[in-house]
Amino acid sequence: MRRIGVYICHCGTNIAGKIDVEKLAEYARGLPYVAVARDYRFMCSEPGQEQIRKDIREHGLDRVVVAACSPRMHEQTFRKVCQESGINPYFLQIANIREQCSWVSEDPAGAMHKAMDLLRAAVERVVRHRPLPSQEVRVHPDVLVVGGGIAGIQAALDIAEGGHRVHLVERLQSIGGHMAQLDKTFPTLDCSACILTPKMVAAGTHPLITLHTYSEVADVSGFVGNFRVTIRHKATYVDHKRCTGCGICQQKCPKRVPSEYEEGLGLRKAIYTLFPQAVPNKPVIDRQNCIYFTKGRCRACEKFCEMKAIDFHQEDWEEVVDVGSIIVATGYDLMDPSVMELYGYGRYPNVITPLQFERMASAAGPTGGRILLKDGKEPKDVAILHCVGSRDKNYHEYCSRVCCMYALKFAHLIRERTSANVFHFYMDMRCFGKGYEEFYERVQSEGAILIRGKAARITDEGLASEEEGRLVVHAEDTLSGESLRVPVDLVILATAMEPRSDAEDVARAFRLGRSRDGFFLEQHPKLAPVSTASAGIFLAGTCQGPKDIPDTVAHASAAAAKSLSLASRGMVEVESMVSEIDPELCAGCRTCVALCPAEAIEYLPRLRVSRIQAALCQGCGACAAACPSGAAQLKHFTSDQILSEIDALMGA
Amino acid sequence: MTMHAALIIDSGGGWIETFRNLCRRILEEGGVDALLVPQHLPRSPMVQYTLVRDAERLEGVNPVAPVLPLNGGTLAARLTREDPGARVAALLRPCEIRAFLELVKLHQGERQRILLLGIDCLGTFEPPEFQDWVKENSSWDGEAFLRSMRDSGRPPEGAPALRSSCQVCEHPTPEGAADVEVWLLGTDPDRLLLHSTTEEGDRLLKGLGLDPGEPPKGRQKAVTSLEEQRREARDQLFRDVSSRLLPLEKILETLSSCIHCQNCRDVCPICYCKSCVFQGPSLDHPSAQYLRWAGRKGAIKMPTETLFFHLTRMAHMSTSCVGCGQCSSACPMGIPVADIFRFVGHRTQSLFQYVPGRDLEEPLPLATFREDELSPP
Repeated sequence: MRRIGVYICHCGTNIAGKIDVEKLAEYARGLPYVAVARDYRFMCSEPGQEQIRKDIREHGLDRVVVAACSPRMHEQTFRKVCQESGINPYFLQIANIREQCSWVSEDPAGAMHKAMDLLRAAVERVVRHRPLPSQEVRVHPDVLVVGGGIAGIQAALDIAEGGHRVHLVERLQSIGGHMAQLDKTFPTLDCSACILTPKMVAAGTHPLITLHTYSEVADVSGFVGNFRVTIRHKATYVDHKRCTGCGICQQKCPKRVPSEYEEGLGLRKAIYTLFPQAVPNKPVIDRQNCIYFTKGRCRACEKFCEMKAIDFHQEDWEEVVDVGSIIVATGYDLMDPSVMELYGYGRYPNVITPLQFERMASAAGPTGGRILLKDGKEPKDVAILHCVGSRDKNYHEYCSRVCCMYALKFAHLIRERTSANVFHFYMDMRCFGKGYEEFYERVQSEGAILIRGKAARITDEGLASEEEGRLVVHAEDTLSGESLRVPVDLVILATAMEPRSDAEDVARAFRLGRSRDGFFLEQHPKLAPVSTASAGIFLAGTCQGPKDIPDTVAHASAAAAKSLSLASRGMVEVESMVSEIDPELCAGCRTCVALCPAEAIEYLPRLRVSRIQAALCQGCGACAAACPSGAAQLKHFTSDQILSEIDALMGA
Repeated sequence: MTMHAALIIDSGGGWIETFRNLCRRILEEGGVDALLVPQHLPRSPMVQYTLVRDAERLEGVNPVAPVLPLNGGTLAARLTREDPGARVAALLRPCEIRAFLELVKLHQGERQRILLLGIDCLGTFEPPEFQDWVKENSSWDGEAFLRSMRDSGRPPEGAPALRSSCQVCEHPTPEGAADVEVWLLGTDPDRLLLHSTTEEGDRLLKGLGLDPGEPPKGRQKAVTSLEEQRREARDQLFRDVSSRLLPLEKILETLSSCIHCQNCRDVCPICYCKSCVFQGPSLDHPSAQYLRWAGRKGAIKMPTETLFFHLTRMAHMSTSCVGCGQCSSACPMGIPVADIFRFVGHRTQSLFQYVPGRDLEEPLPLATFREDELSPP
């Protein structure tokens, strides 16, 4: 005979404000097997938990039902209470009468009725719960970090400093990411390269960090504690073990193409490093543009390389590494504004993107830090258009969070280096960070002109003489209600940060969810901002959503802490709610084998049945859903448990 | 690959006699150790599958007898699930071949372990009606049925009607899924026509010393026209099912005579489970549960899971349903199970652009994941 304890939480007024909790407890006392039923203000509080422990002792309870919030919140809390009191933690069932009842019901009578149904179903279900053992597996001490921008570099350094080996995978030939392209950083105006380069060098030389540059993750298998990752190294056509990075090959290469790093404002060679401070500072050959690869002759780099490091026969190669956890730090793409035709990007040469401005402002950039128009003259008037593609239902609804601040920084740099007027066209100024509002004040005092109104379009049709041969920004000043035509020489579009174009593929490879905006989905927006739905896989930086550098670094360190806590404990509790296959019922059709996302099911040819490897099973239940004979069953979600719950829900 | 061969039908003997001789030669000269083939059993009007190893035991062979005692796809699976240790061939109708290929995808059989002879199917009768008809026509040998179907597309005068499933079957030919096809549609009545579509098939025909022949001219037209006619009948049936049988209140009425014999499941070639989920304890309810249900509704039908049983079976096999109609034939209460399942199967299969048994390379819809599935094309 089962003895069930039922505990109904008021959750302050969250539940008790809508549902008569005393009456619900009274109702519970009339349900089969219920030995004790109580209501309490906060069941999750220590006195609430203690009441359950006391009742288990004094009333000899062997099952517990808690009617409270979502099991996502406190299932673990109450499982622990059960375990501490000597009953199996899986002898607990949560009836969610908050998120699924009091919060969503307007009618108190209806809510009460539903709460009774949910409670009855929980009681019928918990009777059929079977004890499950808890199991732990070892955690591989190494960590994989995907993406070598500031987030990936920070996470890798934190983990390596913690004494664990890191594999840092970067798609390009150097780590550094977008931050390596920036000139100054807001609000302190530190030189980006000055603060980033030491970190890049530290990551490049740390004995516990293995850099895998010019590489991509080809495959991920396994589970928390034991991931197996295949890294594909792209052919560089330069033997980096021999190469000293002397740079003679880049000098001698006759082929020049627009540089991606310089955002098309400068040129690079067909054999090239991304930038002078690259880590590693070894060149690669761009096969598409190399004269030898395209026309079959040249080999200038090979002739001049004293180290004989050029190897035109190199091929892509793969390497497999084992790690215990993974940090995804794949960053963002800057929106291409050419889709917004009214702004004329791509049509008017003096309409540029923020990264193009960053390169122009950089002392190491193509103009040596001078702000210049395409014809080489200095601008007299500059417009900065805020919220290009952000806060715009046609493109991205979200705020990109960094544009207001870099726009102010641009204004400062322009005022510092030219005598130009700077016009901001903005909707709202969002300067929320430490020192940001002060920076806003400072830039205003330096003479930036702020026009509250989104620019409607940019044309080159001058009406008056001061507009002739220049760009005209059309906007409405929403504070004065005036229609404006502002003639300028240079327009900078503060374009949105958006998810990487290959985010879908990355999400699939790492089994990540994506939020509506397309960025990777964290486990909880407030309480688990670096964890994901996949245990042991964490997010760092802007792949999770737009962030500035301080937030990115903080996020990355948080992800590193998560990886480190897994690695330092060395063991991780894995799912007890795993599937099992009854060999008597299994017909060996192997449908489940093909469906299992964890590759946890093996087929035993001699017995002609399939078998779950419990250590690999993630408890998703795909096999149980697919198996027609019911041979595969997910523990804690067996047919009898679910059907009894449904039966009880359907009938009073 | 692909060759044609024609056997001249012996004067005196008919098409069936010629086929019987072919079977003998396959066993004696074709490198085949055993042949699964339908035969009249001694002193029985019924035709059943036999597995023949002795070439002398082929006297009752009749591949055109219009009856399908069970779907031979399950037999082919049974013979190939493990290595049978000998070279096996089987003569199967198109719906049986398609069922077998579905079972191969479900790892219940192995395609490489069997040589498939596929025969054009002109349709079959309900087994009891076939049996009665043969009993009443002692001179019956199947030639008349073959002739009548070829000439008029209808069974001979006085014979039963084709089963509903056969009347709406748009796959009357093996469609390249067998190694050797035995052609009946659009062929010269004086010849028994064989057509091989695989290297295995070529090897068999060459091994028998059959010379390559010319493909019959009228074949394509005859096949297309029959398929057309069947598709029309099928669409008519689907309209009927969706209006007359399928709406919720009507499906309960349709199934109200179900006596829970579960014959439909037993004869279904796709129902491959070792033990049906409805036999296990997982769908059992505590005694008091029935009383509670009855208390709530005032009265309940016992047992309670009639609709649940049929819906569950549909969920399990409708994407693989080949429309062989065995379920309807096996229903003692005359419930048109196959019509309903065929209709639902057609819709679920269309969702995945899946044709069961068409190609071994096509994965089972429920065993795979396509990013664009269920989205409008």
